[in-house]
Amino acid sequence: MIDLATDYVGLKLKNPLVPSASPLSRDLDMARRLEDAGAAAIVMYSLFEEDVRAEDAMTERFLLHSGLGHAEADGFVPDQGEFKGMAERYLVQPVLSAGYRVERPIVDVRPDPSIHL
Amino acid sequence: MSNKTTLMMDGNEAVARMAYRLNEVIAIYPITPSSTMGEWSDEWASKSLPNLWGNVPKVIEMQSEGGAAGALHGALTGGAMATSFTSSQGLLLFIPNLYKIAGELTALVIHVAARALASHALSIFGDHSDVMACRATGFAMLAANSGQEAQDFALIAQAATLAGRVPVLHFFDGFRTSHEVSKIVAVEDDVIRAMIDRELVADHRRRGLSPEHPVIRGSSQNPDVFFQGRERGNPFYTAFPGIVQGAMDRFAKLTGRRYRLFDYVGAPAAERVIVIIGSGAETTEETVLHLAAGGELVGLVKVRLYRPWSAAGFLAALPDTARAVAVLDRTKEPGADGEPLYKDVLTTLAQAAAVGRPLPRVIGGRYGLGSKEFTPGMVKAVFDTLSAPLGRHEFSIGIHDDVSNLSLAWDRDFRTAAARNCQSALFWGLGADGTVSANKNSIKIIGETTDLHAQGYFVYDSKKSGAVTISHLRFGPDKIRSAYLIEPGMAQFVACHQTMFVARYDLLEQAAPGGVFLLNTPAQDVWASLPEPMRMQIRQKRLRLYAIDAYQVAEAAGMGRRINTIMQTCFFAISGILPHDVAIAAIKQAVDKTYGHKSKRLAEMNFKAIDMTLAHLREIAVAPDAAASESPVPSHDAVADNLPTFVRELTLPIFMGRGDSLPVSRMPADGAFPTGTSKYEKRNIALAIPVWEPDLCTQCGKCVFVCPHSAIRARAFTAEAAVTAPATFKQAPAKSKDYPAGTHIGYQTAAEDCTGCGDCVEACPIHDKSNVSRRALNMAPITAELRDLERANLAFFLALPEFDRSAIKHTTIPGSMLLDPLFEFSGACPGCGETPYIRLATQLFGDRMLVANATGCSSIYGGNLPTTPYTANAEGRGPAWSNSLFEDNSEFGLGMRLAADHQMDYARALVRGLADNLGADLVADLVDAGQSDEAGIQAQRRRVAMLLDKLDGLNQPQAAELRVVAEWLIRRSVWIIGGDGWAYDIGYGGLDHVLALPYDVNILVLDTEVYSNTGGQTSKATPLGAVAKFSAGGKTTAKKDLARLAMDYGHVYVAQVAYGAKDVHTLKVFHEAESYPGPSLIVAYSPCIAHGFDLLYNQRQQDMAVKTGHWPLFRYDPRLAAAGDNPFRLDSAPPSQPLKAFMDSETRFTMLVRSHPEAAAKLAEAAQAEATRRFSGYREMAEGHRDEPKTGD
Repeated sequence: MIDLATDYVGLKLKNPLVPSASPLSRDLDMARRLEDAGAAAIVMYSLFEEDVRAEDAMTERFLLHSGLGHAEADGFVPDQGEFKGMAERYLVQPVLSAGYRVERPIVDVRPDPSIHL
Repeated sequence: MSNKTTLMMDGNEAVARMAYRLNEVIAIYPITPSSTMGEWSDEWASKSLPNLWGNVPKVIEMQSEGGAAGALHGALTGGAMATSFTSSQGLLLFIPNLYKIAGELTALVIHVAARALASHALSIFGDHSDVMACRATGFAMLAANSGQEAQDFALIAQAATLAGRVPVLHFFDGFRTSHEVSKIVAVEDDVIRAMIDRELVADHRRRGLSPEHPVIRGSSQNPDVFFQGRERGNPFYTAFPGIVQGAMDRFAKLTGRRYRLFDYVGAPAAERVIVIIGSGAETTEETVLHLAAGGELVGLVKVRLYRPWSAAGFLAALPDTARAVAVLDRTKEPGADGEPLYKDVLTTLAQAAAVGRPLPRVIGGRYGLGSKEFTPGMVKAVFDTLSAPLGRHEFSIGIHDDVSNLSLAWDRDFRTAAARNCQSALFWGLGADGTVSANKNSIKIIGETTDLHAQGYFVYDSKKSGAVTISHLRFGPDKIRSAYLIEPGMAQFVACHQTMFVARYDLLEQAAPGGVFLLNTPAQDVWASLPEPMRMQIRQKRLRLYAIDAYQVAEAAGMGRRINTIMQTCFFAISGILPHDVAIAAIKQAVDKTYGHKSKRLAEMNFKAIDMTLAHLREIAVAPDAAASESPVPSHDAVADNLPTFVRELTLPIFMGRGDSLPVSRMPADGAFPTGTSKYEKRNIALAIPVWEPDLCTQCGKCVFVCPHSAIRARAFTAEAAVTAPATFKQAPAKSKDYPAGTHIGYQTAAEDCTGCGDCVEACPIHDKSNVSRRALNMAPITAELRDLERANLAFFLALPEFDRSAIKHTTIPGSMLLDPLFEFSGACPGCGETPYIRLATQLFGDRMLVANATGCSSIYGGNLPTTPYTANAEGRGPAWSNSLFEDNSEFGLGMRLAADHQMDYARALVRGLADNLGADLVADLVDAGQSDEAGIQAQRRRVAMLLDKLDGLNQPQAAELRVVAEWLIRRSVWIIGGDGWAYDIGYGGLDHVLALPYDVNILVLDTEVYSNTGGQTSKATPLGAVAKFSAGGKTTAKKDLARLAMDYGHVYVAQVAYGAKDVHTLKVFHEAESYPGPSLIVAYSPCIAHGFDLLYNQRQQDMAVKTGHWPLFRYDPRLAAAGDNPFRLDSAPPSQPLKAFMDSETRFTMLVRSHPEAAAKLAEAAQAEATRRFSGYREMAEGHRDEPKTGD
């Protein structure tokens, strides 16, 4: 069998077939199917800066600082306890946290270094 | 003694922590200021925190306090440890059950944040009128004076009630204690366990109703035995004071904090003594200690257990040396010979005198009603009046009563040593700018990282847009007993977080000589930017002036306009109250706690802002120039010219912040106020206002329709009327053919009344083809120049004569929006989704409207002083408005209808009786002519004018009678308005009853799908999947379909509307509802800040609610059925988008995705199924009937 192994941005890949960023990598089962079908690596779906900023803005305004400064309504939402923002959720999703079982490396592209992962 | 853990918290949290540990069932209903006790409990339950017995209490929100009381009674009868929290009118609704619970000798403690009862007006603030209304219920009454005591007494009361079986009403002062943050020594679990006797708990459980050992309770008794049964419980009451004291003594052994039924403080041989209950005792103690240290023979008796009253306990506490006693009551019993505590004290002393104890002079005074300030100066005035040889028995303190002359004068400059010994800081902020939360955090930091005592109290104004908050913070080495605001000249630190306040308020009145003034300002030359009166104060008080451009720092750090951590950092940097690095570390720790896991990005931005702050904070040199200025009072933007007397004498001082100084004589005796005062306030809170482009505009009226504050108006006028217009006044020839040639139309912004929400611009459908970002209406940043020219334009616009209403098409949006609104410039939130409906009703029917308004947001922005938005037209006619209660609004409005109908019938009878004098035609028209539309109403007004003319010539007694009631011949349009909390929950029984009757009332339900006014609690209108308080995990049941329930009657006009989705549908519905001669119900979708989206997109969200099937539009008109048609019309298309699209756009839904993603997915699925089911139900109604042959019944 022909050896299709190659190097890509420092990663050793068994072949050059890498499904690019798409909703396919949102789901753990799908990621495993890609791997079973021979994918040498999986590019995680894109995390859009605009989405992160929009969610942060909503979180800040309507969850963390929802008060109007009115004597009767100090805030409008129950405390949600600890929860993770979009960027933080990205890192703990099943595909990533199960990465050790997806035996191929996962390429994680961060176009904007100001997004703290 | 157990280890001491101190916590910074407010009284409500301290009480809730204890009540939560001690109970299994918590049944509540939200009411200010007790709401947060239930909310804390719900939050802890949602996090599965255990109670003392290791299980999670069941916290349940009921439909009213009556419901909560019933559930509470049931839970107790079932043998559970149960409790509730309430206040004011809520407590009144508990009363029937309180009698039952006490009569059954049930162990229970309810916790009450005491609040004024509504009488001549509503007040959300603190006094004892609610708890004093419960004196006869059989509940013991235990009063806590501070957050610490409230926590301690919550436990002591529980221990006592278990032992003595007398239920306890534990109360503390609303806001002053419930909301004041202070340093509280927490009660640890070992103390709780030691206080709560397991065997007594077991006894309580064993008394629970059980089929295993059945008894019957609640029997009905006859004259033969009822009385004896009532007396049977006496021994329990006789024993109870001793039991409470026993619990206090045990508590003292365990914690070192000693309380007695009556605690005495002051000179051992005091001659003058004050007796008082509640937080006022703290201020009195501070003053007594100050005066006694100066050698004055004064003292104080703090009443803790008020019921059962222990005469022996009181007499033991009061020094024998007392010659004069002043009893202070924070309540009023009009017509009584003194207030309750006064009479109890007097009775006890008189009884003691009868057996030989010397009888001191006893006087009784009222203080502090509705959270009126009670200061050391006032306490001293009471002691001074006790020194006077002869004084009256009745007095008041804290106001200037120039009507009954009952008030005592007091020294406003009197300060105690304790007040001088602590650090005081005052912060001016806007409600939404985070000042209050930053200050709460600051005192938490100080309280928890140092040995200092700390106190935080927060004053809010009553507006929901542009609300001012003032934070009063005190710190010091000693316990802080100052239960009053920081007094003039006492604040070593004053910060103003909003530049525009500089010109508006006397910010430095409280500043202490040599203190610091910190100002957030963009000005380069800060000193020059200050008004001269302020500069003079700075010089006179030798203040150090610091400035920072916090918005610039926030912007640079990427935080937009959030300045709270920046200003907080400045406070710590300047005040030096903590070492600099300690303070910075603590602020950063708080930021990390808030944002750490949620968004590292936001946390980093805050860190950056904190680090940048010091580089931008600068001390400003105080210039020694002394340009003379006569008055230290700052200017106010209010229109001061030509004010009506009432406004000048009452309204103006209130919004200048000087309401406390108004004498009694200025107040209306019966609570009736003139309308139309909001136009004088000119709050100038918009950062940008809409500017009209007449060349582009098609005059569609949509901007006027959506404006929540009636701040953009349209009028039609003749070209001639506008020849004298200012050059900047914009107008255009009317585009509609409905108006005669030469008619002009103007769209005018009320720049100083606009809140800048931008909804009008979002609603504008016209884009400039050559520049699509330019619309016929565009937001422009407000400048002094723009404001001045728009002020002149508005004045001209408003002076134009109103166009003949009968010549305007009321059924089109462009036409109806030319009608003047009679509801304007309310204090509602920017972008409020409720107010456009009310404004619309006033445009169409305002000159004949009677409004019954349920308590809630709409009653607060509709009727909260200083200024009110309902107004009158040029003839002086306009909506007449009243608020009765929260729960009774339908019935209240029905009563108005019955009165109107009855008086109309009486007037008609009188008209008929005078037929010979009035002429048959006039009589027939007056009695029978139709008045279902504008033309009919106008014709009737003309007839009534003719009638009054004719009556002037008649001298029969009936003519005199008719003169009084003639105005009732004009049809009244009765509107019953309120929110979903009222209509779906607390007032549903009444609403249902009124709907079931045939009377002509128009019920407008402003459905925000949550309790908006009290802060976001779940209502039965809350949709499935939404997060709200008491539905922290997302509401699992579907929204009640109020409209469908009402349609079931068949004779009710019912409609569901959303103006942002289909404004013309809303307009049509209002006309149909009003003209329908029976009950009408309009359920109006009202986006609210509680939904969690920027209200700039108010209309877009309404549209999405309709397009996704969340909010179908429809009408049910019984007139159609009578004509043989299907009465039901489905007015919105089948959903074109999945419900999830709507849910994903509002934080009330998406927050669950963040915290509980799996539950969120399941609920979203269930919500979609429910929306689909509902829509198909409506479609069947719309289609099914159509297939049926017309019966023509």
